[in-house]
Amino acid sequence: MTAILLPVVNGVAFAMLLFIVASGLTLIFGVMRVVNFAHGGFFALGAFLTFTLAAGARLPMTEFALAAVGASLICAALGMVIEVVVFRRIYHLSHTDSLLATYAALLILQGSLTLIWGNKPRSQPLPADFGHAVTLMGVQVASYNVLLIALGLLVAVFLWAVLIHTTMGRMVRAVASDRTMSAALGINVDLVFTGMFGLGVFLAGMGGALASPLFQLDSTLASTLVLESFAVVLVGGVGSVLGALIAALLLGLLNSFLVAFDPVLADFSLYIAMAAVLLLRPTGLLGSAAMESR
Amino acid sequence: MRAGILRALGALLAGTSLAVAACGGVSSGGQASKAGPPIKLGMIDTQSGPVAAVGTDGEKGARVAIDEINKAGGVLSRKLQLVTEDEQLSPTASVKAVRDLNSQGVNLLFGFTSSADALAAVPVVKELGMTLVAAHASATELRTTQFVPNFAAVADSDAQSQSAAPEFLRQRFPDIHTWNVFSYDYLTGHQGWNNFTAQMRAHDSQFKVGKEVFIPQSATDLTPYITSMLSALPADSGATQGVYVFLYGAAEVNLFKQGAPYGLANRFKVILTQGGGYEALANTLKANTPSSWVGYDYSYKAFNTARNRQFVKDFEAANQGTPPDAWAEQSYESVYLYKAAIEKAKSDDPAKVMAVFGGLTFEGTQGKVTIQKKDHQALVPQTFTHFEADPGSAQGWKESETVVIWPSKSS
Repeated sequence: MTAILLPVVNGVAFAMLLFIVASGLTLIFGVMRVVNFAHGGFFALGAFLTFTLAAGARLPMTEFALAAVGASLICAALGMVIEVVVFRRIYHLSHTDSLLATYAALLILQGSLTLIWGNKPRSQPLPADFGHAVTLMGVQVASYNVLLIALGLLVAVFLWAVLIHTTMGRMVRAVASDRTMSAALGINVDLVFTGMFGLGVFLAGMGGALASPLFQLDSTLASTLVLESFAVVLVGGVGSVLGALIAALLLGLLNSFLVAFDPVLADFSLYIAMAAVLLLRPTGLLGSAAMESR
Repeated sequence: MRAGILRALGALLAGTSLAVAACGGVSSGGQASKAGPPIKLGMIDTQSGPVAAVGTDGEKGARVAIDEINKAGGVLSRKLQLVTEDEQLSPTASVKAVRDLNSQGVNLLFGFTSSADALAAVPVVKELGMTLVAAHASATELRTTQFVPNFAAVADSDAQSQSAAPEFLRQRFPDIHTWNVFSYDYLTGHQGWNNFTAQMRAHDSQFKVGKEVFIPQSATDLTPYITSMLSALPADSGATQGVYVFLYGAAEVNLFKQGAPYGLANRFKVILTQGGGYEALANTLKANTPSSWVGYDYSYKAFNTARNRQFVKDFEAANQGTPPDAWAEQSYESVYLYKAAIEKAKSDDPAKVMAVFGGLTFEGTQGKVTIQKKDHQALVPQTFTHFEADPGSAQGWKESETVVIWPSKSS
């Protein structure tokens, strides 16, 4: 039983971190049709800002949470500025142009990280009281991983509630479906775009903040989890938050089980999942549903 | 009228310039005939990316060596001059850097963090008639199958470090017979572990391999690998078993960060890491540094030689009191190797310099260093330093013990 439960818990915990990052990416693409390469830069920025706000110290959970939220809000504010100043001017251009613009933003963010924090790696300790393991159904699980699972589910419920059950969510879905008609009906499309870009970047920053106690903080952090996040978006179906949740779980569990039972294949788990799903459903798991819902 | 004034001014300026140039020419020509132009050493090392500290610290060490040598009169009465290029952890960028330096007339090279980059650069170095001293790259292939006479190494080879580790363990932990491993799942990772186990078997008839965990270089979430190791350990592993960690950079740090909630460090009697650099783990994890031994070829406290005392003093003076790490020392040593080779060859011509690499002896930080004839590898000792957390100190960690293992006469 332990042999099965251990990979399940490990896989779900990593999946939730992946989902938090990927949900921001899929939201931005779903609404604005922009593949945001700068997402990884905001992820790294969230981690470094958390390190700075926490002064690199082992803090009580409440103070670490404040640092993480503060870092995410700074990321969101910066993201909204970039959306207004740069990305708003490229929505009407081709995907190639938007790819180049977001890639340029990524390079600028990466360079800024090195300029501000230098080349030496940093480390943010786990919050106090989360530096141990707990026993769940006979399995030892890092308590911080339990926190990640809870937060991932919370983000999923929050996004579902906001997008499906609020007026703002209906406006967002309307803009995603037909921005010209939405504008004709009086919806401030620019405001929706800026708000959703800010939310997407907030999630990237939050992912980085939550990942900061788990990873060494260095200039390569901007590429950490980004490949996996793009895979989650593609497997789940671009623009679908529920699809991203399912895909993150699929990728996290597949990797965890392969490490446990067939380590040679573990390095290929990402590609195995992508190949299998995209061969059967080229639009991703919920890609069609997502398209229809627009 | 205006044209006339301009012509007069032009003539005046031209005359003044010629006079200044003539004076300068006499002066510099006089110096040139006496001292000659500077000897340029090209340093190709990582100045950016995840292991930029190797190159940036290395450059500090090289500059200290060059300052010391220039203050003492230079080499063959000529000053040394450093020219740097970023390795970028890329074989392509490394090859380009070699060609760029060659086109600038810089043909005596050193550096290289990554063995893969050095392996890509070596054929080009040979083709262009340059020389290369590996300051950090440790791959066996550079010294064996891919060896060229243009190459020499002050960096310890994988074979040297992995044969020193069992000797250290035999001396310091004779009761630990079962060893587990965390290593990268690529050729060097497997080779490193295979070398270690072969040497351990030769030293210890009771040696046993415990759990082997090989981690892909692309892995970010190490929890499944950590729990895979922990679930295979017996209850008393904390008193009876050791773990050999052959990782470096982010993976080494992430292993201990992500393993901390599971008490990873407490599940072994001995943790020995050899992949990462001296202090790299402790400097990143600070007060969360696990009690562990780090094997590397230099520790600034380990050698009481005149050269090392001078190096540490000059390095600290140039770097706000920060002592040198192994990367700084390896670059420092590379410059002194070139000094000795140029003096022995009586020339900075790369062909003449490479001809004297084999059998060259020079005064290094660890004492007299000899370059082997067969593979141009410097015979350097290994230091094993025990690091542990020290929350009361400013840096958060301390070195509590250092053991030096000297190599055999040929390794």
